Amino acid sequence: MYSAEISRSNPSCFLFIIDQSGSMSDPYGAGSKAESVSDAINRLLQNLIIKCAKSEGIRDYYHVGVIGYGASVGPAFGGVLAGKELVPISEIADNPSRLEKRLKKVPDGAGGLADQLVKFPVWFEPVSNGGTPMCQAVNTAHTILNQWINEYTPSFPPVVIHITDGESTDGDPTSEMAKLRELATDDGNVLLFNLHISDSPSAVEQRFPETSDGLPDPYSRMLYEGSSLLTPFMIRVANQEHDLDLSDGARGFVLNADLTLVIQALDIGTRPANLR
Amino acid sequence: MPKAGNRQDEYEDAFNRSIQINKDTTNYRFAIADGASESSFADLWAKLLASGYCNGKFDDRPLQKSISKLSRVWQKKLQGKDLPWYAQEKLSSGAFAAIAGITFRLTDASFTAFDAVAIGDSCIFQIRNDKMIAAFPMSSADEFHNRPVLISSNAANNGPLKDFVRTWSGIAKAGDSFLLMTDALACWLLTRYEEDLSVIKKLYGLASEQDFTRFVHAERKSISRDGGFYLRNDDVTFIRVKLL
Repeated sequence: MYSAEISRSNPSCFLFIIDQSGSMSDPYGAGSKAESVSDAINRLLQNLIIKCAKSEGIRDYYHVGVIGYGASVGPAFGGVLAGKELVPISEIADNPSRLEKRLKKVPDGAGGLADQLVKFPVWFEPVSNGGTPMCQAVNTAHTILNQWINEYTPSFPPVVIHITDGESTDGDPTSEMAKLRELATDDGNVLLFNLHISDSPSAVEQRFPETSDGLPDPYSRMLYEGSSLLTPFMIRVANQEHDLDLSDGARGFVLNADLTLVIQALDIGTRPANLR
Repeated sequence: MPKAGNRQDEYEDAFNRSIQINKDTTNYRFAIADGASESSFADLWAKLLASGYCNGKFDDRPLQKSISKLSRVWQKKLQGKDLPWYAQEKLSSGAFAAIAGITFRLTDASFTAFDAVAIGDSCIFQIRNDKMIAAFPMSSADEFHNRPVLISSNAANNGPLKDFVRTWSGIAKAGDSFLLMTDALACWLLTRYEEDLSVIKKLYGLASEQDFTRFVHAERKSISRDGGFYLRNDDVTFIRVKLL
């Protein structure tokens, strides 16, 4: 399981579900929860695209979609991608809404770091509006992925990344999440990963915990319970490349932390050990 | 040949050979290189490394120095290209490749001395009387994984490299063969050889490029004892050298 080759003729799928509800305007860190969500989704898309970039352009190893939920539930891209549920990743790469110039620290080859000006693509701006119809959003993901799986049954199963503060207003999404995880290709079940953005004073950053013991509130525990186990390959990458110490029970759940690792931990070929 | 599903122009391995005639010695050099799939412009980098080795660019000077010269060539070839944001980002990380090269020094002596170098997981095997008598730098299929330390065209990534340079010197006799193979094929050989020594004869039986293509297609579909395929789907490159 979780060993199907990901290629252009046998692509996999990434579906992001992002919380754009009113509660996301709450302050968080130096900005708001909504800023944290837009930053996370832009960064995840950027990483996924760079992974698929080759000399001649982007190789369509993935079909990608983003569902937003708040005042409404549905595809969240704007511009030429507006209204599309899943598109080949090259279309997303070629259509950011803008490119920001940012300074990035890169190794200078002499043991230090140097500033380098890079273009950072932006697809999503912070949005916070309306209720939090989480059950409906997860159901929508189910419908989209059910259809995708019918077409790509032998493929590596879809990965769903859900980013939220957890405060669902249309009921407890536990059974919807379970239904989503039950969807499967020949190569394994859908992988559902939850990124919880919490402003609870007792929320301590957590990455891929094996128990819900240290989690601050029922929202966190619900998202933890709803998350898939990491695959053995992902655990190996997390331990070898990110100095984590995960064992078999590690869940695809992070609290106030980065989820980029799950993208790096997908196997599409040789990744040099000296590339960071 | 390229990975199944990829076009010929997406092949990112490289190979080269050269003959250099000196006063008392003739040097025959052979090299293979394997561009990493998660980097960009890796085909160009692999070609530069393989040709650099065969043109003696790795001789008598520190490795980092030889590599930085080749890096400048790589950068120069790509300078001024109008690239989209993702290609620029990838370009700044640099390309990555493995290399394995061997130099045979032929003199009037009845034996041939050789020196080999490898960085990464491309391999060289020495065969005598249909038996593998040396495997370099990997000697077991378990040593292969998809995270090798490779040579980067961006010097900033080459810090750990000096700990991963492997060298090998030895003596070969007339009749010996040397097989140079990029990682998927090298791993295949070590796996098959453990199960059946006669696999070497099978390789000797490949008389043309068509034979090789047919053989690769078949091994990519052949199921091994652990349930996977004997030959992992990847670019494959094979040089066979026989000393007469």
